[in-house]
Amino acid sequence: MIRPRWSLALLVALVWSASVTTADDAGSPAVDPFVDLTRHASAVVSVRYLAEVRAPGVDREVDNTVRCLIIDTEGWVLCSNTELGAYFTALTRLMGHSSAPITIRPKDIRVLLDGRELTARLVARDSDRDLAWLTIEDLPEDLELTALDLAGVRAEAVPAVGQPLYLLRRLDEFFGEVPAVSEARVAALPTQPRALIVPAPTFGDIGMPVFDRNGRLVGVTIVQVPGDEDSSVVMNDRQRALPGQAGPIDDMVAIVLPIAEVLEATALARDVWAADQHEQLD
Amino acid sequence: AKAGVEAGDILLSIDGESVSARFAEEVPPILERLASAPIGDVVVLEVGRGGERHRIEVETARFAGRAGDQRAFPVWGFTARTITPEWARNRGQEGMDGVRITGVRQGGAAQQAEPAFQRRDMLRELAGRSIESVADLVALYAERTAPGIEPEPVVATLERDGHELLTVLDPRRERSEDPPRELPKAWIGVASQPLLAELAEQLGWGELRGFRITRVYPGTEAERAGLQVGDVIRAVGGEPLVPAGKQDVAMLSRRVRGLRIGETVTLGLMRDGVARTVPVVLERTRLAPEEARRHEDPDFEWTVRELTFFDRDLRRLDDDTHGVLVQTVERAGWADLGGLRPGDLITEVDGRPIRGLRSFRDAVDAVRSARPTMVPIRVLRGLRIHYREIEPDWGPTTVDGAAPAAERTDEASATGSNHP
Repeated sequence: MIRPRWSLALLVALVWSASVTTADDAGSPAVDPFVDLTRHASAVVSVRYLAEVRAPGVDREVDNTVRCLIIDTEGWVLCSNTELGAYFTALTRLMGHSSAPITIRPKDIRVLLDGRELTARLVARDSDRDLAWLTIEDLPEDLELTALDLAGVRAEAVPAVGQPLYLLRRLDEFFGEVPAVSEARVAALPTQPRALIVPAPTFGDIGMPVFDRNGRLVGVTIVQVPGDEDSSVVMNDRQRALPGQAGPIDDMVAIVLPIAEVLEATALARDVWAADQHEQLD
Repeated sequence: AKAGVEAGDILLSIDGESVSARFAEEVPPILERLASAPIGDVVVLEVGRGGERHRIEVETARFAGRAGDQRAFPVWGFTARTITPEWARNRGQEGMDGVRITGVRQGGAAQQAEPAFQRRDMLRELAGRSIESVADLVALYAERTAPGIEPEPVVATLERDGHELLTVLDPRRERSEDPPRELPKAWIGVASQPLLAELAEQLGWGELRGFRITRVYPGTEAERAGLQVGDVIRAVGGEPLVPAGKQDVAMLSRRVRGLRIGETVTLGLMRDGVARTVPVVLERTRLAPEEARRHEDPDFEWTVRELTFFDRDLRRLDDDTHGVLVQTVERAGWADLGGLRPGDLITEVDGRPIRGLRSFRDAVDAVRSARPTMVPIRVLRGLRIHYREIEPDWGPTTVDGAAPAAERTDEASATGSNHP
């Protein structure tokens, strides 16, 4: 026979455990993301390129290295469009200087992998979703790619507000580029300018995968700033964040694009690339 | 010095003729007289030294100057100058082999090398060959960049602050990529402006809000659907558009881009005070100028790109007008000196009609093979047709135009004699 206070405790425990179980968790065991997610680390690669900067009175080329994701074993690589050259345009808009006549083109793109520099080509970009796709040219036969294979990802429901999020990244080469996992929670789920996931605190890295507590890929971090058509928008003094202060700029950088959008855009990018191969110039 | 002239000697005569300079202004004519002597001749100088007169025979040589011959090597991305005896002496250099780097182009092969070339580096060897003068470098450059020769990486030996460095100069890295295309999005072939409260009030339109059409692009579904300049789009697919301020200027385009290409969407309009609905088939976004394929040419030092839909619309070009647009022209490059300007529409190159980028590349390749001294270019600039002439310099050659295997410059001959 169970004593009354034990039965009460058991009842409380059952009720408590039910209250923290969400549809997201139902049927899926939680994992230790700080351990489990690092298995995807090999898909996080460095991409080096030359940014050709052209503006009135300016004509120079700047060496850049950013982090991107290998998304299949054929050599497709997903990056943030901002990281591949659009950063300056984004920065000028954030600082309130609209429509600066600056063009930045990435060229001489190389994926750094396994001690090798693999030539890559920028094949498509989506400025709205801040995504860009590379393909590695002439993939060596002896090189086995580890990919965060999007083909096997389903567009699950996004985590609810308050749910934990985990970002996989690599530390700087100064620290040996070891993988690291950062944690945040869903702070908001805006639908303007599109469906997005706002993490709190802000993730610092752009173009990196974000997972839920069960290790499911839920999105990729991107930058969302007013676009070209918004060139008349100037951030006022109140909105501009001072160093150390939180402001709208924090929300614009390393915001999470839900995986459904990433999948849709990637499928379209592949179609565009396939069509491009057959396009005649004249 | 080798002939026996010493610092402090007083020059008394040249080839038997007395010389004298009472003022500084009288010195240049004396120097000019010496310089006008034929190279290789023997000039007899009489000098005073320690109260005695000395007769010295000096064999003249080519004047090397303080600064040696300098040339640019565009494919490699640097400029270099021959080390002269005077330069070498001033720096305690032994001998005068090699050249020194005088400029490195940003983003060029020399700057991208690891370690990168730097100004003042001495270039001792390149591609396994000893480099003793700019003439040697010119000869090597001519071999490595001849038509039909694919550029290849080469090893360079540099001397920097007493250190010998090896680096790889890879000209292949200068290849420029075509910009990738944006993912196609749904588009309505109009340009518009937000109709905000102040404008609506001034126009007597009261509470009307939306997006006023400012242009209907010809040949688009929007034109076929009958949209007109002045129409105010109030709703897209039944969802109202209510711009409140400047921050909503992109509301219409963003709303449309979220829809599907090929879909028919109903626009709620206000035209001349009458509300109406117009179905429009959404088409694919047209290529923006920044997405246009381009061609960058290191010889002509220009960048051209293909014409886009918006270029044609802006310039009101008919369908029979073809060409490529000049995007950039490097200062003092061939194209710049030939009078080409950004914005020019090139319609012919060397008599070959240009339909687009492929025919342009073919025409330029043909010119590069033929290496003519003059290349006529036909351009459309504004409403006018212009003919420009580019005069290519297919070099580099040395300053005096000598063949790449020109003789090295030498110091003054040491065969003089010293007669007190």
